[in-house]
Amino acid sequence: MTPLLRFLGGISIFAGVFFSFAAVVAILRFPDVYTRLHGGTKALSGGAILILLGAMPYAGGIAGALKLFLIAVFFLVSNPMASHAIARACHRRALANRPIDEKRRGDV
Amino acid sequence: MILAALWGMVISGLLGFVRVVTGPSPADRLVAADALSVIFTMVLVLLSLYIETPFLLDVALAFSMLSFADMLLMAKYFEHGELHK
Repeated sequence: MTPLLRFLGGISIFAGVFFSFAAVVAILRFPDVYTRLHGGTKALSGGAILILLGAMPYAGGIAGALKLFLIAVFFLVSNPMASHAIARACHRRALANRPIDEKRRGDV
Repeated sequence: MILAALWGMVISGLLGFVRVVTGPSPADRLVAADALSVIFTMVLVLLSLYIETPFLLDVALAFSMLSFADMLLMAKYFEHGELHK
C-alpha cells in the first residue's frame, strides 16, 4: 500500500510544482493587477494543495500527515480571503494604476 | 525526487521575486509577495521532507498563519491609509 501511495504522492508533488511554476509565469506575464491576482491565487492555491496532499505519504507518520492536511485546509480558507482583501483595496483606492494598453485592448 | 521538486519551487520563487522588484505599482508587489509567501511555505514543507526534520512542518504552519495576517494587514493599510480604523 505504501509504495503505491508514494508513487501517487510523487506524481501529485510534481503536478503541484508545475502549477506553481505556471502561477509564477502568470504573475510575470499578465498585464494588470487583477489578472495577476487571478493567476497567482487560483493556480498557486491549487499547486500548494497538490504538493501538500502529495507530501502526506512521505511525512513518516500520522502526526506529520495531519499537520500537512491542516496546512492544506488553512490554505483553502486563507488564500481566497487574502486575495479578496487585496483586490478590494485595489478597487476602492484605485491602486491598479496600470490598465490594459489600448493596443492589447484591440487584440482581445 | 523531493530534491527536484525543491529546486523547482526555489526557481519559481526566484522568478516571482522579479515581479516584487520590478512591479509598476505597490499592488503588483503585494500580489507577488503573497505568491512568494505561499511558495516559501512549500519550500519549507519540501525541505522538511528532504532533510527529514519534522519540526519544519510546524514552522510552515506558523508561517502560513503569519503571512495570512500580514496580507490582511497590508491590504487594510493600503485601503484605509492607516491601521486603527
